[in-house]
This record gives sequence, structure tokens and C-alpha cells, in this order.
Amino acid sequence: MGHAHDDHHCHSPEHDAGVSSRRTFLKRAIGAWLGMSLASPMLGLFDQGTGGGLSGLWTPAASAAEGAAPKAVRSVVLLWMDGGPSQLDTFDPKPGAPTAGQFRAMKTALPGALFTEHLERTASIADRLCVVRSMSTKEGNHSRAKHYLRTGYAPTGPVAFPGMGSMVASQLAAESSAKIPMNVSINAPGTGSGWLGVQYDPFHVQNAGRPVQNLALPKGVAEERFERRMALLAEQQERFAQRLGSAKSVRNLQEVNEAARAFMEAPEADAFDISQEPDTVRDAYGRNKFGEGCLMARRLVQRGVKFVEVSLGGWDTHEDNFTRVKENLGQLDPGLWSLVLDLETKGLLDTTLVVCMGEFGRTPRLNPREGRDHFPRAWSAVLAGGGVRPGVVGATSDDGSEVVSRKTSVEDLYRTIYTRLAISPDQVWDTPSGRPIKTVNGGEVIREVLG
Amino acid sequence: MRTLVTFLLTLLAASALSAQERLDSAGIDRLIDARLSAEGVAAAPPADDSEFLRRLSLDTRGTIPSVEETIAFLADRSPEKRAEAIERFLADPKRGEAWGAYWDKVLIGNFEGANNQMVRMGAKSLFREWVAEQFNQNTPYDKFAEAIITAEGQVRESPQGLPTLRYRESVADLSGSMTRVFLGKQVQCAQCHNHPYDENLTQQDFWELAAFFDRTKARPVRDENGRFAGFNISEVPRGRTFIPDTSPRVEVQPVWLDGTKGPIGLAAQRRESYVTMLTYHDREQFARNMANRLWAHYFGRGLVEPVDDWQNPYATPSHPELMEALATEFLAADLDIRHLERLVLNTRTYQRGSTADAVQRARADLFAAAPLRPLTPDQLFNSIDAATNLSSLAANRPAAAAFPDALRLRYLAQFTFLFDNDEMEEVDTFEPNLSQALFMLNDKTLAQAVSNRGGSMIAEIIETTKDPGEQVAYLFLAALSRRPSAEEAGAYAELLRSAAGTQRNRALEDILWVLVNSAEFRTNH
Repeated sequence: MGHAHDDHHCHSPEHDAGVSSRRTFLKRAIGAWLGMSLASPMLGLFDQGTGGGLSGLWTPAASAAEGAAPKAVRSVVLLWMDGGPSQLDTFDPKPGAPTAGQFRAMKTALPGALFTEHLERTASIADRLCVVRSMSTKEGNHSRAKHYLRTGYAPTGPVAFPGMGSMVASQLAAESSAKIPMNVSINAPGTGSGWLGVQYDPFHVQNAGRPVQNLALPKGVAEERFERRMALLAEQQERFAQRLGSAKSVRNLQEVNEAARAFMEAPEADAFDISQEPDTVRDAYGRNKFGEGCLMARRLVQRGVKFVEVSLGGWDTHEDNFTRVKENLGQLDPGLWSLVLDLETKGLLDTTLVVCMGEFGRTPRLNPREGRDHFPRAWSAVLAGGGVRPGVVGATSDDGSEVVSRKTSVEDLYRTIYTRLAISPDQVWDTPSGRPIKTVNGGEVIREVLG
Repeated sequence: MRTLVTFLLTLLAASALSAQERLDSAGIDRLIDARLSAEGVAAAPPADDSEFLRRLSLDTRGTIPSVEETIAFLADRSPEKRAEAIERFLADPKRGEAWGAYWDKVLIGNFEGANNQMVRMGAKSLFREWVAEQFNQNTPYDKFAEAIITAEGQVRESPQGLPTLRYRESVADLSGSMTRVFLGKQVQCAQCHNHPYDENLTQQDFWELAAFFDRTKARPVRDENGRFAGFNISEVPRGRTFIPDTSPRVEVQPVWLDGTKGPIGLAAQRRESYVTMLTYHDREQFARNMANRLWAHYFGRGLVEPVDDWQNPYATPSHPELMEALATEFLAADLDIRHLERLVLNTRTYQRGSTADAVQRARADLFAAAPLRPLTPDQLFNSIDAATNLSSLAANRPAAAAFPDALRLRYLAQFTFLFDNDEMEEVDTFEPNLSQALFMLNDKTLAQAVSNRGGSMIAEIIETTKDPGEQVAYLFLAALSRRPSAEEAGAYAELLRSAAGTQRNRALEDILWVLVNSAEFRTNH
């Protein structure tokens, strides 16, 4: 079913700003604009070389840039806002509205678009962002909504759907020869690979600031001894496989053991070591789990990793919304800002699609505990890089309670993302349950995003 | 009044059953075999004694058998030894612990948020202990469910309240989860819209069901110093339930899924009414659901699959007659879970081997061969401990007397993180991931566990025998609960013989490392 398109999809949200608050807002925004020039000197932070000892092993695909055709997107970074962030207190503020909340709105580098004041740095690079303010779904339950937003499918019965990361990795992995995981999930464990197979399961990094767990041999086990053990293990597995009659499960285990060994030996594994980055860069990204995850994401993308998820939890603000959102923005703002600028400086932004979203938004109305509750009806998702057209797509009503233009579904978003990645949204998969399933369940490309 | 209603309902249920024949293990086999021959699929040959004992121990007690248990069982010549082992394990306190892990996963699982505090305060362990006690004293299943659903008071003192606490932020999740787990019905998608495949279930129905739980509150408790001291669960006497986002607001009263109004009789407590509806009014489905869960627990899949979504159009029972017979038997036995376990474990179907051809493997719904299942986090931890004496690592550290439990908890947290599958996930094959592989290959503590230090399995073996052949046999009995094949015995004994001095110990360590990392160890088969 198609959406009713209107012609104001890239409309200016400025009219949403209440007149009464406009003066204060402008006063503040001018200050912010001045502050914004900090973006340019800060650019020097992220050197154009590959930095952090990552030179030479991977070069961005210049070959894809033929004529005016957009470059092929080679990687996706999903900044997952777990719990569902408040759109009103992030990318779709409603200054002056009764639902506005405690934060002020500020002007951004995207003419006409306001962000919350606590996204100051991100505001300075908003002209690189595509802000979809008209996400609208019906799943208001965390686990169901997460499933929906992370796979593109509402959960239905027995089918295990692959997460976006597994889908992207499975479709793009062939172009990378690095023996490191092509689907990496930082902080949270990520979503499984469904019918695509274990090799596309996300590799989970629990803490980007520390060395990857168990990647090195334990003390007392030299390489030679490890090799001997692995050889004995392979024989032992084979005997069991023969005894069982059908060996798929045993083969799975051996395959993944072999992948682990290759990973342990791969020179590209240094992408997982952010300690190689200069202090200035680490400071810019933020010395916290999210910032460090974003920095690792950039290093991984440089090494050809196809999908990196960095999650930031704590958005389920049923109580004390403003304190908690502000705290979170203190991590999101420098992380997102650094990631986009850094990718850009290194010539990787055109080939890397950055997506920032959670499972739903939050109620414009505040509950008695200064909290905002689940709100799937009208919320925001942000895209950057990957050749998406900067701008604002869609709009919500003055109090944020409804989408008033360019209503966007999960299917629309997935179709758009996969189309941009040249992954066919209409490919039909034979799933183990016997039910044929398309990569994307309908929807339409959001043409404003692809430009 | 409620007691009277209960009594009358029990009479009704009993009279419906009186004409029924009781089900035995052979009866279960007949129904399974009938379908196999109708489909033209042959059953796998029976499991040998080692395979049977290992599987039985993992399924009932959550751990592989000890070396001593395995040797004694293999040496036993009694024709009744399998039935006897079943009785022994069903009476083992570890059975309660295994069910504790099961209900922890089903009712609580991994969750984030405010309740984490409770987990840190040990509430999960307390909940597991409470479940273990119920199963070890064989509390009837309806009483078990009732205790959980109507839990009151401080959660640390009444840990059966933890599932309620887990969903304290959402009455929709609370009522939805209880209904999903205990009735096998997914009602939650009707929370925001009418149910996708059950046309009879509307949003109104969902909120009428939620109304049973809407007066249940979990509130933080503070100690005399004003510090957070846990949560207290209680049902408040008043409170109205509205369907969210309705304008004008639509108020609902507690109504069961089939339209029967609750509360029944004069029961003022809404959760008690829910329990009455669940365990008496809907007693058959309540029993059917648990019988199916129990079947799934022992066979890797339910007769109805997924186990918690009976209305799903894909969830038609593979053996409808057996499903009904199991449920009827469970009712006739007054919801005695141990009785049902005994019936199932004594079947030929349960005691089949895991050697299977492609057809038998693909048709898991026919139960032609024993399925291959990854060990759960608890099973994996317990089994590694049994095979390596991992806990003795802790005992050797003078600094920490309480370390064994700390180690266990730390490991379990790690294992749950790495090896757990969500209940909603399909697990037909063993699909390990890279993080798990790296953990098993390189984890430091695991490396120490298979090493030759005091108290370790390797040390125990070296003390027991210096003969390479015997050492290999000991290793196999400890890790895989079986004797090595001739080929294995020859190859590994040769490896040991060719290693001199300390190299011998290192070779023993290598073999144990290989066995613990093998697919045979890491699966239940």
C-alpha cells in the first residue's frame, strides 16, 4: 500500500517554533552558530591519512565513482539508540509547544532544521544529515519493536529473521578479503543471522576500549601447541560427525573454529584496537563506551568491515526524562559528530551509510514522573553518508503527536537502505520454516533520501 | 467462596476424566511409531548406555554424569538399570536446580533496566532456589503457577515475585508474559491492534486480560537508613483500567480470553481470579501447555511448536492424539510433573540414538532420532566443571572462601551472555558463533581448568594411573561419559606414549582440551 505523498516533504520545521520562544531561541542559536565555527578547526583532528597505524591495507573504492553515478556503498554503521529516544528532545524539537520539555532548540547547519541544544556539535554538521522526522509504526513494545526495526519485519511466529547487519554482511562480504568478522556489534550483542547462516552472526565487542576478549592465546599455550590441538580437534570432530550420520552441526562448529583461528591471525584485527589512535581523536569521540564504539566503527569500516552496530542504551526514559536524555546526548553528540567528520575527512563518508535510530520514539506528553512513554506513532531516524541527500524528510504536527507529512514505515526505511546498498529488496528467500520471504516486506523507497 | 468454586470445578474436571484410560510409556511410543510408519520414516536404533545416561543426566539434572556414576551404570547388568537411573535422577536435588534454570529463562531471562538491581542483589539465584524447592518437593503444577502469579511481599523474601517484578513497568508485558508462558497464547500483539491471525482477539480483549494485573504494584522499599532495599509486591484494592490512547477513554473490566467475566465468585483479588480462570476454567489448555513444554524440554521441540504460540497457523500439533493423551494424563495425575517426566523418559522414543540420516534429521517433528541440541549455559558450565574440576581452581585459592559461588556466577553470566538462545528462537541445529568459539579456544580460566594443577581432573588422572591406555579411558569417561573407541584409544595412547616426562602431562591437557572443545561435548545428543 502506498503512502499519500505530499509536496512538502522537505519542509521547513521552523514554523513549528512558537513565536514566544523565538527570541530567546534566536539569541541562543546565534551563540551556537558562532560556536559552530569550531567545526572547521576541529576538522584537523581527523587526518586524511588513515591514521592510527591503519595506512595502506585498505583504500576507499575510488573506482566506483564513475561520472555522476553515486559511489557504491560498502559499509553501514548503525548507531542503535536502545530503548527508544525522545524525538522531541533530540532531532525534532517543538519549541513553544506544551510538549516541548525542558531543552531549548537550536539552529543547525541544515537551513531551517532545529535540533535540541544538547546536540550542539551534531547541529554543526547537520548539512551532512538526512533527518527523517516521520517514522511511524505500530509496535510499542520494546522487544517487538526492536525486532521490527532491527530486521525490517514485525515478529511473526516461528521465523527467525536476520538482522540488518547479517543481511548487509551476507550481501557485501564477497568484496572483502579480510579475515575478520564482517558484521560487528559493539556494546550490545546484536541480532542473529536467521536463515543466512552463522558466518553472518554479529561478532560482539563488549567494550571497545579494551582488547577483544579471547583473541590471544592464553598463557602457557604457544602457537605450535595450539596448532597441534586444533589438528587433534579436527580429527575428533570428524569422528563424531561420522557417528551422527549427518554432520551439519559439527561442520558449523568446525567452520566457526576455523574462522576464529583466522581472526586470531589476521593483520586486519588491529582495527579492533583503538589504543592506536591519538589522544586527541579519542577525546573527540568521547572517552565512553559509545564514543569508543564509534571510533572502533570507523577503524573497522576502514578495514572493509561491512556492518558495525554501536549501541547506546538508557533511552527508555519513563522517569526523569530530561536528566537521562541529557546524559545520553553527552555521549551521542560527540560520537556521531566525530564519526561523520572523521569518515568524511578520510574519504569514506560517501561509501559508508550511517544510520542512527532506536525502536520507537517517546510520547510528547510528559507523564507524572517527568518521563516520556513509548511512542511508535511519530518519531525520527537519522541517516548520513552513503550518498543520501541531506535535508529533513517529513514532519510532525506542532505538538509532535502526529506525522503530518511523508509518513514513513519501517519497510520504507529498509527498502531505501537496501536499495542504496544495491541489495535487492525483492529477493525471495527460502526459509527453513518453508515460508518464502522477501528481503523487505513491501514498502516504497523514500525518494527524498536517495536524492 | 473461592475454595468452594475451586472444589466444584475440580469435581467437574475429575468426572470428565473418569472414563479415560491412563497413559503409559508404551502408549506414547505407539502414537509416535504410528506416525513414523505412516510417513515411511524408520526410527533410529536405541541409544547405547553411555549416550542414554549422558542425555538423561543433562536433561534431568543439567550436568553430565560423574566418572563414578558412568562407570557404575556401564557395569550394572540389571535389565531395569535405565528405569532405575531415571528414578535416581528424578529424585536428585540437581533436578530442581535444572528446573530453576528453565523457569529463570522462561519467566525472567536476560533483562535490563531498574530490575538489574534486583539481579545484582541475588534475586535471580533466590528465584532459582525457590523453583528448585518446589520441584524437589513436587509441588503440583497449578500450585506452582499460582504462587508465581499471585506473589506478594518483599521479593527477596518471596522470590516467586521476581517474574512480576521483571515486568513491573508494563502491565501489558506482565499479563502478556504470564499468558504466553502458562497458557501458550500470544496475546501481546493485540496490545496495539487486533491480533494478526486470531481474528477473535481484539485490542479490547487484550486490555480486559491485562486488567487482571492492573492493580499489581511493585514498589521500592527502603531500609531504616533510607537505602534501597529491594521491591515489595502488592495488589492495591482499587484502580481502573483504560485502553491506552482511546478518546473518549474506554474502561475495561477483567474478562478472560473466551469472554467469561472475572472475577469469579467474590474473589476480590484480581490475580487470584486470573489463577482461577487459568487453572480451573481453562485447566485443559493450562495442562496441555505444560505437557507440551515438558515434551519440548526433553525432545528439543514441542508437539506444538513454537511452544508459546498455539494459535499460530504454523503451530499445528505434530501428534494431536498424543498431545491430548499427555494432557489428559497430566490432569489425571493432578498435575504431577515428575509423573509426566517419568512417563516420557521411560519411552523408547526418548531412548533412541542420535545417529540419523538426512530424512530423520530433516523431519525433527517425527522424533525418529534423538535431536542434537547445544548445551544451555547452565549445562555447559556444570559439565565443564564435572569434566575438569573447574571449581577446585577456586578451592585452591586461600584468599576467597566464597569463591566457588562467585566463580560460578561470573561464569554463568558470561555463558548466558555468550551461549544463550532466546526462548523465541528456533534452535534446530547447533550454530555456535565466533565469540563462543574464541571463548572456548582461548579463555584463561578454561585454559587453567584443563591444566595439570592440584585438584584438577588431569591431576586426579595422573594420581590414579600412569598407564596411557587407562588415562585415555579416564579422560573419555570424564568428558564424554563413554569409553574411547578402539581408534581413539589407539591414537591418543600413542600420543601419550611418545611424550616423555612433563610432555606427557601436556599431552593429557591437550586431549582434555580437545574433548571439551568437541561438538560431542558441547551438544546434548
